[in-house]
Amino acid sequence: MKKDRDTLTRRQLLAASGLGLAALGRTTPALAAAAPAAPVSVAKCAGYEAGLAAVLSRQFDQIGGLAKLVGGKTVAVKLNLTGGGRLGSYTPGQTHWVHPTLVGTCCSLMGRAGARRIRLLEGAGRGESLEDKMLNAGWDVEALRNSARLVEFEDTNRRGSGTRYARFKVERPYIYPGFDLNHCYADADVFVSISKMKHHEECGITLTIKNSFGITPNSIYGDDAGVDEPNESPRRGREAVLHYGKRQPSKSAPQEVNFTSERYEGYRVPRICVDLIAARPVDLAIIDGIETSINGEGPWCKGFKYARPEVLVVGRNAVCTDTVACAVMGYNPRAGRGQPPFVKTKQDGSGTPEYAENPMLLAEAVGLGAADLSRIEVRGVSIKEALFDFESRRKG
Amino acid sequence: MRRSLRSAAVFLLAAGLMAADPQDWTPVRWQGGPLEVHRLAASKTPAVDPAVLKVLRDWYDPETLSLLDGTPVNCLLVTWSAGAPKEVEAEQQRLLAGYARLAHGRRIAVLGLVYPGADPAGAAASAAEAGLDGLVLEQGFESGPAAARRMREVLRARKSPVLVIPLGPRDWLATPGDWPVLGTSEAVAARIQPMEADTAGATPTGEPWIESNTWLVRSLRARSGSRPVWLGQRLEKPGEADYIRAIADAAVAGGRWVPAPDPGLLAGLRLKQPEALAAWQRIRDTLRFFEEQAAWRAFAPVAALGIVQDEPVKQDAVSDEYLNLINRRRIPYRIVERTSLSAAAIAGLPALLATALAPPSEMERKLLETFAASGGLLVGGPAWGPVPSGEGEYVERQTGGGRVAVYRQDPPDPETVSKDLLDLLGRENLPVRLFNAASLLAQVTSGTAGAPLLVQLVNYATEPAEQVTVRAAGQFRRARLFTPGSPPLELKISQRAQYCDARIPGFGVHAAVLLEK
Repeated sequence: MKKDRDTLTRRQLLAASGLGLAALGRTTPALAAAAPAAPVSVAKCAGYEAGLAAVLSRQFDQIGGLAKLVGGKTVAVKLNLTGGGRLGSYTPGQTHWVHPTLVGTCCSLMGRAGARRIRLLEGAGRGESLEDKMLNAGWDVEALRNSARLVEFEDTNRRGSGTRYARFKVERPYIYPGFDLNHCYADADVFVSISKMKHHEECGITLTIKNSFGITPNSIYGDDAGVDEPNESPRRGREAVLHYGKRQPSKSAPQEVNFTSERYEGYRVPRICVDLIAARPVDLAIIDGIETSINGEGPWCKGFKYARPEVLVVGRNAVCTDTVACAVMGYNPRAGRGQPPFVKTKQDGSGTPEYAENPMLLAEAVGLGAADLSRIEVRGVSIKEALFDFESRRKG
Repeated sequence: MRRSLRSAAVFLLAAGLMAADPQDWTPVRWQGGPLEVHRLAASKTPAVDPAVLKVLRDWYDPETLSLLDGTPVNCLLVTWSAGAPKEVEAEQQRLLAGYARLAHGRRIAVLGLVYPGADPAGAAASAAEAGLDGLVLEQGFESGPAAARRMREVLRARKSPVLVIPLGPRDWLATPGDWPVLGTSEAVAARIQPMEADTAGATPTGEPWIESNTWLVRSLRARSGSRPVWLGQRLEKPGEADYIRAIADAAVAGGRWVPAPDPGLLAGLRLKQPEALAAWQRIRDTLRFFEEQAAWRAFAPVAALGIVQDEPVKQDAVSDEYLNLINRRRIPYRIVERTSLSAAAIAGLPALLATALAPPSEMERKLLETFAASGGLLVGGPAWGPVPSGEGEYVERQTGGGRVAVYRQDPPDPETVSKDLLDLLGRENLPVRLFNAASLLAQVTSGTAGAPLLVQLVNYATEPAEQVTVRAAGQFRRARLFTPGSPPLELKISQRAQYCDARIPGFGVHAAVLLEK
């Protein structure tokens, strides 16, 4: 049953209002006002076949060019490959994963722009490599490997090919003052996030900011993470540690700022995602809205269905890019908690408040980027031309 | 007298021409005639279209034999006796006597189906008179094996060569007997179990629930010696792909599904309807494909796990579930009969599931402890020894160079065991792995040492399988794809240090990848 404001506890209200953090002096209106704004490119794209490279290439040019960003650099690309399963005969890339052709095209363009090394990154399940995970979705791994001069793959749910984890600090943390991540996130000169444009059961929407949730290694942040040290054979997800804060990450990693803060996932997850993009800023955000889904982040969500917005959103600042993408989805990017899309749609029967939090506003409040459309220059097609109303399709 | 001698000579000549060994029979249900029409009309569900019944009445017209031209079918299961009015049965058997003679001329064996309500002894006597090659006892008899034995007594008394094959529920095989074919009609329609729209892929790692008989065929083959294994289940409202899938599902495990064309398909064939002829063509292609590759049946399973099967088993359902669920997890296994458990029988296996040994004998215990100490993984139930209390489904301990995992539950839950086995064995250690294959199951076999590795795949979904990767441990120089109705296709392989990946662009229901070293 959904609780209204009158039934929330005082602590929940305080936490949900964001005052908890403001009272600590970590957010100020001045920080929000000074948050950087970067241009965002929006393009219509009918499919993943011929023409995709030209569209993307033009978009990269519209935000300052790819060569300047990746030339001679090591590029880490965080993919959005949530869970497994599939919706009917659709491939995961058509619904809840980024599409392999988009990934291959991006690699190819970055290679041509002079990238020295490209590392594709995402968490993989137990007993499988990232390449295995891709093969399981029908991806042509060899084609990806050959899409640029040097393309590597790393499962970042573990320490992987590195000798130790890399420590990232969060200047103005909401939940965690820092994170221990796979070395690839530190080795990279440029961090690219390729995300799907879709809903999310607990957070409302999945865009670039949410995509960073998956950079946390399960070895430290998973439910079966080691208490003192990472467990390099993790089997479980991140529910207990990140979603609900029922336990802390391995002691080897930074612990929460405030152990008594709100435990509700609609409160925690967006804040943790913002902490993560503060810890490891995104240099290039690419949002795949060519084919996608409505109602949740994967086919395990009730009412999950296919959609075809035929849109790509690209930007240098993750907060600005998500803000524009949110508007393209037909939502108010400055919507508050409990307003669409920031509503938790998963009914877990726990009786906890069923709101989600707007991560763009949270990020703006700590100065990571502007979430105000009036401050963001949209290049390419207009938001109106690209508009694809997710909410009416969710209801329909 | 002279006439009957001539008849006998014709019969013996024909019998000499036909495929005499049940091992070589490729059977099909070929049911029509007045008795079949009577049977279908009397059955309440599903109601058969009267126009179809009219066509089926004349099914044993000699012309229908020409439908078998170009097929490997050489064994027809015809409706013989069902306890119908005497005149109906007599007419049916008179028609079939002539039809069988013509079939024999084409080297086709004819087996009479006997249904509940029939008098087994009478059916046997009339089959001997008519020169049938065998009788098949359908499910529904109170005691199938007893009825089958009664028929055999009658036939022996007449010195008749007519064979008797029970094709009933699995419990008829509790004591396999010496039937020429080990068969059951208690099998599933090979497919993906339909789910409600909102529950499909219910978890982030959810996979569709595949219903397959491959485990059953393999279990029967382990007991059958050299005898063929038949599955005799009928399909409900089958489409063309359902027939193909049922054939492939049994064939990849070395058995045969007895194709059962539904009345509508048979009527369509008789009326030469293009759709029915096209479906028959595909069924024919699939049957031919497996007969052309008959040598594959002799290939031995390549296994990451040996499963000890005790016979007679105390808990059949549990024992079956181990095979079924481990098969679904795509863990290549081979069955080790308890009666033949020896060092030689388990040599080369990396792991052994021995939950059926409850309790193990001293000799078995010693043998398996040696297996574990030599580097193997032994998985057992509480009968294997005391298990300390604590969390977790099982306790794992090192022993020598290997491990022993003992479950607390007795018998251990097959679902839990099948899931845990993937962790215990390590996916990366499986001899063959499939990718993008949620709707597929594989049977992995090989000939003698150095022979090619054969990975036979069945797609249980209605949609074609696409971009499937077969990963085989080891080094291979060539991979070829075989599919019914198409020439072999060379597959591109990616060789890595420990394994080789072969990528299949797509296929419908069945594909086989032959990997050569």
